[in-house]
Amino acid sequence: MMESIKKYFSFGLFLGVVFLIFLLAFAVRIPQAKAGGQGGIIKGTVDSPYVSRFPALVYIDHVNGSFPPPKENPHMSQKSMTFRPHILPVLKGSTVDFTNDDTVDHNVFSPPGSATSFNLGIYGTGVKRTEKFDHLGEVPLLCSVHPEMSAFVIVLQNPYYALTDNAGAFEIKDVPAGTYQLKVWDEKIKGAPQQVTVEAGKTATVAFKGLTRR
Amino acid sequence: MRRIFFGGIFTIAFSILFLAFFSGKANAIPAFARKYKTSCALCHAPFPRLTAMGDAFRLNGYKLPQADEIYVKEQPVSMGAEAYQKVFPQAIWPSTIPGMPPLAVRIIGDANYHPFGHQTDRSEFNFPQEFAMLGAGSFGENFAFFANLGFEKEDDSYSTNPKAWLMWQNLFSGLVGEHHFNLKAGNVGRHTISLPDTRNENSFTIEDYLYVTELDFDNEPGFQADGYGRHWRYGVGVVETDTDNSDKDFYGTVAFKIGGLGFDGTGEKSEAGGVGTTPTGYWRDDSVLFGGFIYRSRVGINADPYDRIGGDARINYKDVSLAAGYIHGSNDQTEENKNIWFGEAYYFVFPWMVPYLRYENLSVSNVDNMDQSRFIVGSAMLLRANIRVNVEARIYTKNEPIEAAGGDKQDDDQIAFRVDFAF
Repeated sequence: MMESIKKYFSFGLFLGVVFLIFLLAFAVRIPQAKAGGQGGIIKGTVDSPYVSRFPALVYIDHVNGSFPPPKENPHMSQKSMTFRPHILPVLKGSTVDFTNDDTVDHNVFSPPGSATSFNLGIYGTGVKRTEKFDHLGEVPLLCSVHPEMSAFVIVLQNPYYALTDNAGAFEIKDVPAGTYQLKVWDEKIKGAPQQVTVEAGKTATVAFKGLTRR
Repeated sequence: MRRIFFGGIFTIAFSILFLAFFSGKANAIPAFARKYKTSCALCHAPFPRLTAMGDAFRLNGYKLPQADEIYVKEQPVSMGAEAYQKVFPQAIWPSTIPGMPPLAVRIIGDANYHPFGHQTDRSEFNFPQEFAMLGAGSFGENFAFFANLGFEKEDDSYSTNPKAWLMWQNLFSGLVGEHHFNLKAGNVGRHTISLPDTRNENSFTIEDYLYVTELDFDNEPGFQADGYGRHWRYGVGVVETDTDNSDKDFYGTVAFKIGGLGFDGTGEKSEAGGVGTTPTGYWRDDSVLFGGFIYRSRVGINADPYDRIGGDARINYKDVSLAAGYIHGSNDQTEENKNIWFGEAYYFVFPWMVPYLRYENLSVSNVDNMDQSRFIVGSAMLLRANIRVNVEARIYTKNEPIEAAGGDKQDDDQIAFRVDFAF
């Protein structure tokens, strides 16, 4: 009798552990699942005249979970002696393709103090070189051949970000429910982070004000 | 509104006329920075010295080599759609003019101090020493123009030295190849025949080259045919120095380049880069250049015909540039023979700081008390890409003309401070 009870107890314990593991695994997957369409929205504005000329990047500082870099590398082009795009947000661990799409030589390097310091050398038309970005933060891009050229790679922890439009408005979709620090980055101005609480299926509103020149 | 409109038209017309009739010595043209929305540093290092790209741009009729149109940010005004080429000769060949008048201003101011010798007036301020309005650009694919209105201070007045030309590029390109035959009409002369690799107008020192001031080169009206390829360029010309007779001056110049960016803008530079490396400066162009010129004046100075012949070489390696030149000048009647040689070096300590040293020696045979030798030492510093200051010393080790006149060889020694900016 006791043997049977022990067997049923062990089996029940086993089922309980399996159930717990399943629950944990599910819990870990929640942010990515919600990113697929069950999250909330953060809408708002960056209130500064600068953003009409210098768009701001608004992003969530940290979201629980892991966010692997995309399989297809983000791309930064040098064309018509201009970096395109001017601001390239990427996930940590991303490898960016840099291509020379001009008829003149180009270089790409980042100055000392950047989140990632690198120098891709000088290369001609049609050449592609790559750089991996493993550290969060701002990486200014410069070209040693053309001093006026400039762009930024912003390395982020998660994919919840948006660039402002000409009026300073932004919208971040599919944000997992939770409370976050929302940050703003701009090449000309700076502002304090804001706390925002996102509920599934709802829209949270944020306004960045009082931004000052960097 | 109407007054503003006519005022604008008048200003533009006046500026163009002004530029067409007057010019001076200056060749950094910020109008191009505006046209391409690019830094002066693309073509100058430090300005007005041309980089290899700047030289390719100049030779290509003020257009970027290979695909100029994709870089133009300030669109030109069409003087006829390109398809009108197919209608020719029943239509004017299509062209363009710059979207905005390609005007720029350059101002130079000097403060000089004479520390030695017997000078009574030991210091002088010359602001501005030079003032120039510049215009240059292209009319479509095959015409380029240059105009310069300059005023230069001489004692208490300002003199002008007109300079303007129009160039027709790529003539007979189907027969002789692209860039191989261009024709230029206007003020050519010294503008293009001074030593190919140590052109006075490419210098960023305060002091002109001794060979230029001693051999009486000037901007003369005439015609020049020239051309270039990856490694070579040439020019031959005929100019007028005396309007009272039909005699003309003739000249030819040739230059070769090994390594670096070609005269035609080809020759890709490639560097590996890597962790812990710093990118190569835009001024670098590892190369060897050598060239020469010959000039025959049938008119001469004071009816004394003369010959000039010279050659020079330059080595650019990383941040260092070394050059040397030799020029011989002889006059038919006075039998004056002048031999000038020089060596110079400059070094990019930083992109904005370029110290330099030059030694020049002039020896004259058949005429006494003409020999000179001197050092030019100083540094150019860019406060911004378009604002340069120089601190420069001119030290004579031999100065026979001054000594023969009872002076001291150090009377011409000078410490100079220059501010030079363009916009």
